[in-house]
Amino acid sequence: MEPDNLDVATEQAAVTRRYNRLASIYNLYDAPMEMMGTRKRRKRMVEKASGEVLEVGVGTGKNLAHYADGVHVVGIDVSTGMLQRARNQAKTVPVRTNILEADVQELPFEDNTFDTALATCVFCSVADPVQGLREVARVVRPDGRILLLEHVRPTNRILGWMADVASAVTRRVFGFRANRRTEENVAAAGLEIIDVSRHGIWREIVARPQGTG
Amino acid sequence: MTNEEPLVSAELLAIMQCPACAGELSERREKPALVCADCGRAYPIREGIPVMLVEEAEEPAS
Repeated sequence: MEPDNLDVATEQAAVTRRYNRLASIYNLYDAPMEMMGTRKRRKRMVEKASGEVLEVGVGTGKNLAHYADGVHVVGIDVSTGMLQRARNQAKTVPVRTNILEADVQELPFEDNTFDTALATCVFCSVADPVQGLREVARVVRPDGRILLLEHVRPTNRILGWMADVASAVTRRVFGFRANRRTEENVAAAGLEIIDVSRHGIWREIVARPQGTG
Repeated sequence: MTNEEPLVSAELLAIMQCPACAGELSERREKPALVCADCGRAYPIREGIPVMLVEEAEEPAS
């Protein structure tokens, strides 16, 4: 689905290195996006999570404060630098958390383990997003929910082309692509989309492992 | 921390598996790690955070 010329492992390693470098300034770097409504959208998605929750790309732990009481969150990321911050953040919130370094493309969890998997602004940085989404579907229970908040490639032809051009830069500098087709990837990974809210380039997607629940 | 305290909570360990071969994991205390019973890879626990990346794992001594 994606014009991937780089070897997946090489690209993933490069993404991890970039996020390790960015960890100390990530919240600052992310501040303009947060002010443009991302925080509100993230909060809205996180509040839908219930039960045993896997947060993919927990990053610096910004979502942890928004979880409902009583959930148990297992947060993973590929960046050690980000995870150390997530662990500090975890100490300040009431929900139970475990923090692990892991790759969504090879999850270290048994099948049918989680009630909810959540990822906010993550799959634009995963080298093989379809494989990552397949893994998420594997570890979520048949009646569970997969919650995704992502920015995607604009559907407008001209804006889409601009995103393709911008993506060449954002991918190298920040490690994410501005032109991901996340909705298409979700379907390609065999997930069933239950609900999508579209706001400009933002997609709030609720899905479940296909053919179940 | 006493020696009896688990490196990873029992609740968490119960839902985990080896990311390479889906084998069962158990704790190793000296040089803290989670070790796969099937393929023998050892995933290091660094500063209390299990590193479950296949490329970071110690390969088993053959």
